[in-house]
Amino acid sequence: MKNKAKLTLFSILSAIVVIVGIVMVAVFGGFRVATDGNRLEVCYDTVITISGKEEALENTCESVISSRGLKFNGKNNAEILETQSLGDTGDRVIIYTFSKSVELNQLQAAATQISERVTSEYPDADIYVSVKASEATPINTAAWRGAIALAVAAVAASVYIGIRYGFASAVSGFIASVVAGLLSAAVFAIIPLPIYSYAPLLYAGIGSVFTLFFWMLLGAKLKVSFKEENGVLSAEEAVNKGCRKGRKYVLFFAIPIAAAMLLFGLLATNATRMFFLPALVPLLVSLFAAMWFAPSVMIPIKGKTDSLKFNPKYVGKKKADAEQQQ
Amino acid sequence: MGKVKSAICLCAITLILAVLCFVCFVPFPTGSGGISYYNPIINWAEKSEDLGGFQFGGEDPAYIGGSYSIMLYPEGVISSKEYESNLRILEGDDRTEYEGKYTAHAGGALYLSNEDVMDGGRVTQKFSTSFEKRLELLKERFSRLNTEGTSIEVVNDYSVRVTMPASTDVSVASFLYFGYMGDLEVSFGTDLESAGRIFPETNKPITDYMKGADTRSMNGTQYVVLHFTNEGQKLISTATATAESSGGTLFFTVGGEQVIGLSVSSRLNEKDLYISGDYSSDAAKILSTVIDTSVDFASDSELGKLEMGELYRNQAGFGKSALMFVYLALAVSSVAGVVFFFIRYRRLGFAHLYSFLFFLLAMLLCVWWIPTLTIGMNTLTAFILTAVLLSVSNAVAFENARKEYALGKTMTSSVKTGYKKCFWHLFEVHAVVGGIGLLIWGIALSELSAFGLTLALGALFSAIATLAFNRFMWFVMMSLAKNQGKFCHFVREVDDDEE
Repeated sequence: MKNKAKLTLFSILSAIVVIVGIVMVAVFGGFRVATDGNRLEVCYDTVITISGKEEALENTCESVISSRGLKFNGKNNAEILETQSLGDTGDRVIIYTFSKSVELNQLQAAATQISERVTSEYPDADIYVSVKASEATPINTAAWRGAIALAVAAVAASVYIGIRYGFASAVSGFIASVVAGLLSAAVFAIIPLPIYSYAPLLYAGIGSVFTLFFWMLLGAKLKVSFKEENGVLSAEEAVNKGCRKGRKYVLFFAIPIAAAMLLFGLLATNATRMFFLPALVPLLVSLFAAMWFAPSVMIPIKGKTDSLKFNPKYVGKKKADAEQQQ
Repeated sequence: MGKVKSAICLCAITLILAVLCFVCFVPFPTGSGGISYYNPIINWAEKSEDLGGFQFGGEDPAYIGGSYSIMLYPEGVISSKEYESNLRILEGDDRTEYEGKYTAHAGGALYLSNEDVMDGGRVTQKFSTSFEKRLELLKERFSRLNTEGTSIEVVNDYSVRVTMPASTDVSVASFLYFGYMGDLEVSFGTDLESAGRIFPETNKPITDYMKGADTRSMNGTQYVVLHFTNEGQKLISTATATAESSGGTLFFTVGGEQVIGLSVSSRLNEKDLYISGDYSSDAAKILSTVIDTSVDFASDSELGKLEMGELYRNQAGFGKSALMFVYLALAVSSVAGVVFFFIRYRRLGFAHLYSFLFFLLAMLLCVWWIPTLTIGMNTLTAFILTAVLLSVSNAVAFENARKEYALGKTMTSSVKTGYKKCFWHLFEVHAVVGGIGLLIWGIALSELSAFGLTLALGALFSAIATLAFNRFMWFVMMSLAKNQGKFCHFVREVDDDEE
């Protein structure tokens, strides 16, 4: 396939994914994340009533939850402390976290049933069951400072690529990193993968930074290739030849990173899985952006810069004579 | 290097790494009965709010990691638990009267005061707006504190849950002070109740008297620095004129709650007032943030306090066994990486093993020693990326040397030329990764900032490990090998002409 057709195809596909992602964000009012959700809390007193029966209490709660067809995402055990002295009150709480798709009234019904069950099983116990609907509110300063940090890092890396590997590499790398960031975010907007609320923007940043890093590795090989060819090959041939040589170096880095993410995702708990497995998305997107998209963007830019560099142009008789004499 | 010197060097390095590995990773009992345990550095290192684990030893071992979370309630809002426990002790008319004071909200999860919050069965617009403003102020305060792992959630529409990692020792102080909202006032007297207000005067904003507050550190002492306008300075000076003879305390209150009580024994006439009260840097930051944001949000002076409710000490947010599985995944991926090197390069794999151990120990010691770093998903991700960088860099160096050796060069020459060919490329990659890490650390806040710092440190140690330590270990081990090519699993290219 000719580069022009390739670039058009990549651009159209990327644009479609990004536009669909934007529409999905607009329709659902944000990313469909798995962690923001409602909590069912069971407070109990360990000192007097439930001492040594904590596990049985948990089993009771969980049997009620599963009997109602509900599934919790996470479970945590917490101590309740005195607010002034931080002393242990002897009270404990089991916190079950549910996804947003679980209706509040379903949880309230479950809470009522748990309350009835534990009251009958532990008649003297001081147990309190409650439902809390939570809505995470991002701390905006941290979010925009993070976005600025990633943007500055991307610009700095592009400037470095520009100085080291030329204008065409810098521009194409920067465009590819922006596309990778948008595509990574769009994928999470379109596919409701179980991810944390902060994840879409973080993964978009990871996608951009990975793209620039991989493009830098490829840039080193392209530079050597361009030097060897010294303008003999066309821009398209030179870039394609350099990329063929350089792709394996990118994969040298990408494959172990992917393997580590996969290993962490598969070995770890559900919660850590939700962090590491989705991180494969920006990694794959950045491979596409660095190995295929950026080169196809680079070819027309390099074509222009090469034509300026290698094509003869009129410089005037005096200057030409002077150059000839030298 | 001679064989004896190499052997001594190798033994010394092995011993140092073994001792460090033992100190960093191996727990062992220090007394009889299994009560006292030595906890390795990996157990001491702070864990994030998502990860956490118990230390060894004792009947009630310390829990490292996890988080503190607090429920904050605006005036007129109480939890269902509080409502029901209050109701339980009331009978007859008192009970009916109490029931009439509140309306259940969110299916009975919260109870809203009919007097302060409700009007005609609906939450008043004034209360909703005021709650939104309180939330904004709270978010602003916590963002200025810039503590990794802090999160704020709105619970059941009209209460707030703030979660901070247990690794920070100021979480409860910030929960308390950041809940103080409303007018900032300065008064002078012997006690808060009888103290006379200095400013603001009626119908004048606090910004006429104060510019703000920040913190300074001088000679190890932390100061809260209050900045006054000319008018504020003049009024303070006038009010404290009698301090030399009778003494007194300068009270700074927010919404009627005391934030700072400064004992004064002489007239104060400074535009920038430095207050030291044996504050830690975090405590000074909390107090200055409360005062500074109260000046910045002066137009919202009628906001009420957010009262502290239930305080939880949460175990790891990712679950009890998350840390163990993360360690397991780390161990498996590290072993897999090292095994690859042993398969491909045979005994040269030891050079990679030593450099990887150097990198691992350096990173762990940094996370343990640097207060802003904890073992969390962000630092782990940065660690994985830089560990891959180290492994790939070592492989690139080995492959370059392998190619040179195949051409017929001596091993010493192959290593030298192999490294020469890739040194600046590897240095460049490490410098760029480290630079990106430093930029992110400098600009971003909280988790991303810690990720940036870990990435920069990882790039630094990976560079040292691959460009210096790995080469040195190769050099040392090579001196001890009888057949150097076999040692590294390097083979010469078969010469076709000779065949």
